[in-house]
Amino acid sequence: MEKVKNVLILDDEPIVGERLKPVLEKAGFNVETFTESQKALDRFEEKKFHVVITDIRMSGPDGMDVLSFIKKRGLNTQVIVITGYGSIETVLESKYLGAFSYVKKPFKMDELCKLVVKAAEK
Amino acid sequence: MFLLFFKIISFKSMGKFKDILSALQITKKKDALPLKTIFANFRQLLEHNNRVLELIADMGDKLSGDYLFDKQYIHAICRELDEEVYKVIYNLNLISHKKYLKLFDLFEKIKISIKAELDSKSFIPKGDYIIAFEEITTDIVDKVGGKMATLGELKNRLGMRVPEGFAFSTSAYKRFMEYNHLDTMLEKLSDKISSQSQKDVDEASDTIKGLILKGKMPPDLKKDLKKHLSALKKKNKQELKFAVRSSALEEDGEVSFAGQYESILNVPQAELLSAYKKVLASFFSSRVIAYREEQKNLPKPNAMAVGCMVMVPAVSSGVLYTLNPSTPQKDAIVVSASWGLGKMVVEGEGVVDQCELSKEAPYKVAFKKIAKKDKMYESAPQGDIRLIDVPEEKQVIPCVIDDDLARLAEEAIKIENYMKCFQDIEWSLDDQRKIFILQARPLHILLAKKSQRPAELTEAVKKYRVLIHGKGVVACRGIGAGKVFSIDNEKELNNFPPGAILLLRHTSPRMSKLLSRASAVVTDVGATTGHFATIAREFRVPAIVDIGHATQILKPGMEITVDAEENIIYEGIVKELLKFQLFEQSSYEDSPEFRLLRRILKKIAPLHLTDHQTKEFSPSQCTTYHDIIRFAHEMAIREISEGISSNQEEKTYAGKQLKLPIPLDLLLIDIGDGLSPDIQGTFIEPMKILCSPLRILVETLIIPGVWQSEPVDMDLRGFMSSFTRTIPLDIPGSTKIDYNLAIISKDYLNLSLRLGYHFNMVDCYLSDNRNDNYIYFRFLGGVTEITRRSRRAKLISFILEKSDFTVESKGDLVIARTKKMGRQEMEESLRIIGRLIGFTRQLDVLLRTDDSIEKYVDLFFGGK
Repeated sequence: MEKVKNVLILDDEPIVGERLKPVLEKAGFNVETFTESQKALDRFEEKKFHVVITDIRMSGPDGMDVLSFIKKRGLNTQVIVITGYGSIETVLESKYLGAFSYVKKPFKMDELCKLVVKAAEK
Repeated sequence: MFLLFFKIISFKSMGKFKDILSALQITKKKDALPLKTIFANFRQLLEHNNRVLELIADMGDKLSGDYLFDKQYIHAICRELDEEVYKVIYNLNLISHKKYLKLFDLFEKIKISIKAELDSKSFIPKGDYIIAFEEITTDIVDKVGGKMATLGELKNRLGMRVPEGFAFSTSAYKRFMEYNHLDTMLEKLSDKISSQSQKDVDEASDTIKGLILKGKMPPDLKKDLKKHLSALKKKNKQELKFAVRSSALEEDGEVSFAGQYESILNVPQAELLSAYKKVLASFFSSRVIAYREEQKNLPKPNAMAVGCMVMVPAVSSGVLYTLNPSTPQKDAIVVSASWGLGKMVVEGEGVVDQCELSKEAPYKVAFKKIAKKDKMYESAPQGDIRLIDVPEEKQVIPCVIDDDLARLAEEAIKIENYMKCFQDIEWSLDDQRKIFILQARPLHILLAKKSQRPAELTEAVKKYRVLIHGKGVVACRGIGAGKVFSIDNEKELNNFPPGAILLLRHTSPRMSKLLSRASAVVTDVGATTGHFATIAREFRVPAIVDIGHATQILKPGMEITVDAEENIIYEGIVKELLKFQLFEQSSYEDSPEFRLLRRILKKIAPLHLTDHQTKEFSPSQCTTYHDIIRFAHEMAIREISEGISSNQEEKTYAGKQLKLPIPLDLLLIDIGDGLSPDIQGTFIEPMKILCSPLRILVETLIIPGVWQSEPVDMDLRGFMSSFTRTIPLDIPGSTKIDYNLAIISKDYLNLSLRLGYHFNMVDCYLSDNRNDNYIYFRFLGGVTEITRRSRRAKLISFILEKSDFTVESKGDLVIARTKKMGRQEMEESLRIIGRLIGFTRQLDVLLRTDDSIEKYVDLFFGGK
């Protein structure tokens, strides 16, 4: 039996977690959702996540902060960055910081799901 | 450099003689813009017009597919839409010397109503204080709360019998709170409310409750109430008594406040307002406050609606569950009933009849336990309810006969199928045995979040034969099962048995009437956008469209199960799937963002202007953004075609009619060396065209077989419908001619070509400098109904992609671009476009059968 992979979704818009969670659960992941970045960061202390999906623009620590936090910790966690505000700078920055991928909103749910599956395989 | 033009516009019939004469006059107008500016504005208008169409198609796309979008997307796209529509109107007015300023007012009106929708998340939606049940659907659940929205939905979409009445909206709540300064009071008490100390919470609760009960009703709210009451009185002619019930935003969704709010029964008209206040006050009882604080993740604003339902003269009432909570694996319906009002059952105190019914017609009673019902609630004549003794002879007989139980079950299943989850239903029967639904909500006990298909389910469905897998497109998710019933023509519409599977060759607006009765829909041809699919989603009928050959595989009378989640059709009734669906949570279609986008799109996308020749085509008929830009485009073309009066330097320019061996009227306006200078008269032969893009297009179109003056197919119906809308031949007496307009210069072409109802656009620059070259081709809509249009759009996209264009296609809109090619390749691409234009002209007629797209692609590339 393959171990179930854990996914964390962080976005200050509740709809994102609400909608993504069932889709990813259907694909066989264990999913937790957060709307506050600090709470998500705290959760990293408690549990290992294989994939993290995070929005960029949030109050408090933003997506980039979360990304660097994860990478600095050396956690074997793949980060997918999603955002409605796309700019070439943010794409580059996220790649530089080690994001697995960058997705612009609005996106197709199954495409993101496929991406998560790929990320989880790493 | 401008050429001088004479305003001679030639008409084919003699009836235009008068016009010819008037056209010969050269009128002067002060402040006319130079020609080049006019055309620059026209091009701008077209650009913005196209952008608006793209944005609209994009929004429609997001609603039909499995996209995740948030409010930010909606805000951003609406902002862009506002700008672009404004610019279209602005440019139109530049071209027409401000003839259409009225459009700005219409634009503002629509813009404001969209903004009202967008802002409604941050505060309670503006709107009527009181909304009658006839006006309520789940679209406005933010205004009337879950309970009332569901009732409205049952009444207005399913046609169920629901008591008459109206709802005090969340706007009314806001008004009441503000009028009595309770909003500020709530602010002050917010610390106490979120305090850990029970004492604090109790104190805060008592304060607010007291203030609400003492509060005064705002006069405008009172007035609104009076209006609705008199409307009801007219219908009922007797003294009205109401059940006043809370309908909070979170109720009947995932979070249940069951029983925590007040419900006041048999309220006389005169006491309605005080009952309203009591129900509002219950919103702030300690229990509720505590509950809210616990559920911090509730995103919606703190607001409450209150429903007022006319009391049903109930002989018996009760509650029905469409699943037995104690034995959920069994398919059964359980009913509890008492004499008189349902309070007896709902509160769970008194002794009541209980029975279990089969969930399959004819809903036989599986087991019955008749209690000794010695008490019942009834409405007291002066108001309020009272507990009275049940007469001896009625105490041990069932309060609902088996026949009525079966009828109740039937209604309940309809509700369950529609709401797609197990139901908890309150009902009453009056003395004529009429069933009234008083409330319907998800059966909370079983809302387990089973979003993953359990392995048992995947195993279980394996034993069923798969008829169709992965063909077609899911237009509405869900699972439905039943007997196939195929409809070929309208005469059969009335024969459709409720609960059957609707099998159609094409989706069609006329067939959408049946959607409320079907358990699922399957079609050979169709799209997820368009009227039919929209209605399917409104009624939540699982739909798989565009399968291609469904009518060959599925035969009438066959029992099948349509799994419009995984896109599989099974032979037989797959009970396991049907049951699984009932456990699922509500889908994204219920999310506020989705509903918001849908509401906004209703103000933007529908097109009401349908015939540019009749009086209808006037600014006042524009009710959506799409109307506005369609109108503007039409008017812009008209303005330019008819020639703008001269300014001081030049006389009016004239269009030249292109003389062609095919019935295509094309008006040319040359803005720089597009035509050979040695032209005489107003008719131009193709070889005199110096504009290279146009010449190539024209040469292609006149090749025998491309434009085709006669339709190939003998399908008279399709042909007739296309006939009335294609480029009209001159009808004597008509005052305007539809111009297809080509603006040309030596290397440039901007062509607006009317194919059917919409314009199609070719914008092209062709020179020796490959970096400057481009082609932009836009195709929208067409002649016949929606299914054929989308099919055609797909076909066109496919052909264009194969021809190395970059294609964007959404719904009915196809945009193809190509750039930076050398002259040879450009010419080749233009020829493809020319052939495509001729080809699509006749496609409507041809695409009536289920033939696959490939056949037509082959036809096209085979050099038809």
